[in-house]
Amino acid sequence: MRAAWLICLKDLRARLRDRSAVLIGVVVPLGLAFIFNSIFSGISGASVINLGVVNADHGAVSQQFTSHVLPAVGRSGVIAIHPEATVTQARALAAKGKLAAVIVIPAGFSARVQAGQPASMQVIGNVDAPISAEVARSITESFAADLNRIRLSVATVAAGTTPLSPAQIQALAARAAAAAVPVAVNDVSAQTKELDQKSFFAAGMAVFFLFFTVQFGVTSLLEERNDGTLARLLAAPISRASILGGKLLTSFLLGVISMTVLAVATTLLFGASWGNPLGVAVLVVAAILAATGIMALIATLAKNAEQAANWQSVVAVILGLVGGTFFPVSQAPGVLSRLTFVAPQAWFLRGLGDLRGGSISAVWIPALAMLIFAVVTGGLAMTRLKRLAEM
Amino acid sequence: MKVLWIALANLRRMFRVRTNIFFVFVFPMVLILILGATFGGSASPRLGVVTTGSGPLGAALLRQLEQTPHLRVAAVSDPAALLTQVERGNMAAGVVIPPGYDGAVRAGHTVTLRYLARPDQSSQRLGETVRGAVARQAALLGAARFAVVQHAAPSFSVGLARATKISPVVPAVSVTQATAGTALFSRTLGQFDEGAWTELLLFLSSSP
Repeated sequence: MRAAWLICLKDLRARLRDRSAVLIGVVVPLGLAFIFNSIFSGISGASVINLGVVNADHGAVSQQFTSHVLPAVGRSGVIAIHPEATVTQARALAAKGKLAAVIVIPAGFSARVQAGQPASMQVIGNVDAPISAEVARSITESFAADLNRIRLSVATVAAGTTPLSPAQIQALAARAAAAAVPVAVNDVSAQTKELDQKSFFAAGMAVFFLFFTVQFGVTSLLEERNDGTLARLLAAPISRASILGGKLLTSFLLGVISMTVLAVATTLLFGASWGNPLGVAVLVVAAILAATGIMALIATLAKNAEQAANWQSVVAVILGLVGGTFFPVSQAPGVLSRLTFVAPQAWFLRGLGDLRGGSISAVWIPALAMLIFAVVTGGLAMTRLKRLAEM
Repeated sequence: MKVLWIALANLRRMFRVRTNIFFVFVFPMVLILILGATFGGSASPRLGVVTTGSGPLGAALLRQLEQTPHLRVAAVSDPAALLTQVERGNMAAGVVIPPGYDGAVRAGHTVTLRYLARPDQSSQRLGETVRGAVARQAALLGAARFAVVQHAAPSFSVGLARATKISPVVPAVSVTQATAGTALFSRTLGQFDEGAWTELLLFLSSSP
């Protein structure tokens, strides 16, 4: 045990002196997380829709819309209402993008509605804001649908009887307006079991580069074999297991140092929030073990250190991409969203996401999945390493 | 001429190392593929809908939602699974049409649908789209109910059939749509185009 520890310390010192470990373990992931965050910060965050309203009518029905319906939506924070004087002004603002959409109520609207004649409202949307225009249209259509409900109610009743007098129609309309709406929609808040953008990039980059950081451990065994120092280690009065253990311990410790520094640095410098520290620790340890196992297995399949490093990089990149460390693949269609769980990185990010929205018990399944990766690949690597150490 | 031969020899040397082939060709392609599949194409949000036990009227509401533009609707079997999907971000939001929806509407009660959304902007926006689709259905259902209450129709089904039949003919309040401004990106861009040219630039500058 002491031998393993000594070997590990020696390797750690060598790696830290050679700045590659510091670069790959800390500097590059931190830098990339910062860059990605800066690039994407403006894009995915949805902001309030600036909605222009031109009320050329001022009748009772349009007042209902502008004084009651729109402000109610405004209170939910979805829209910011900007009354505009003329359609031309409003259209110009929409064209420039200052308003995402404009709702126009033409003159005579209320009179036409009350007379039972066809009437229309117009939504002008900025061409580059189709979602905002769609929302504006939905708000307007909800209002129109409610007006139509009254009309349709009256028409349905009138269709079954002899023609009614205007007074009767008015009375019916009043009763229809007073009738309860048959279907209502109630908002139920769901929790967020997903990392926010800053945390996503921080955790994604950290776990991506983890797979590069842990390469040093077992690859150094191959290096030592080529350099001739492995023969000396084997000749020393220490067990094979200590040598193996020391190398694997190096990988593990480098991983721990890297992840800890990244977690703390991104939290303090970028405002990322990884979540409950105990849950994060469990996930991090499981991820490091999985990464060490996979990279160790690949190293045992290679003939020399350079080949091992190449193959390990290829696998790390593929797993990182598929595992959704650069961009979330959860919304991707079909196969990709299922294929992602072949990569331990996906389990790590899933664990962090679930931890965000729930209790610490959410980390057990992802941690278990990563441990299975670790045990299977680590076990295979160990059997191959034993043969390697005997050569 | 010699320059060409030297270049060729170097190329051959480079491609003898298999991992170089990966990093120069395969990796960019995979990156473009994944970027395009995830972000390219329509930006339509996914809405999960639970309709178990909601009857024919529930199915009609589902169809109404499916016909809404800029919305991808996926049927989900139970509310708990839908909640998990929404929380994880796999679905933008969810609508639960309660079991017994059909019977309750016919009996004259007001039914409340649950809209599952995360407390963020995009989910709130989607709520307005959902409300619009529901309002269109509610117009027909309200008319049918009103006809029954006013004794103009013997049953809800008859009332609904009549309302559905005359709805296209009744002068309606409609919403017309127009767009203003010039588009930033051409409409002919495909799903993978944007990822492709940015990745081309990235890998041109990073090639060995």
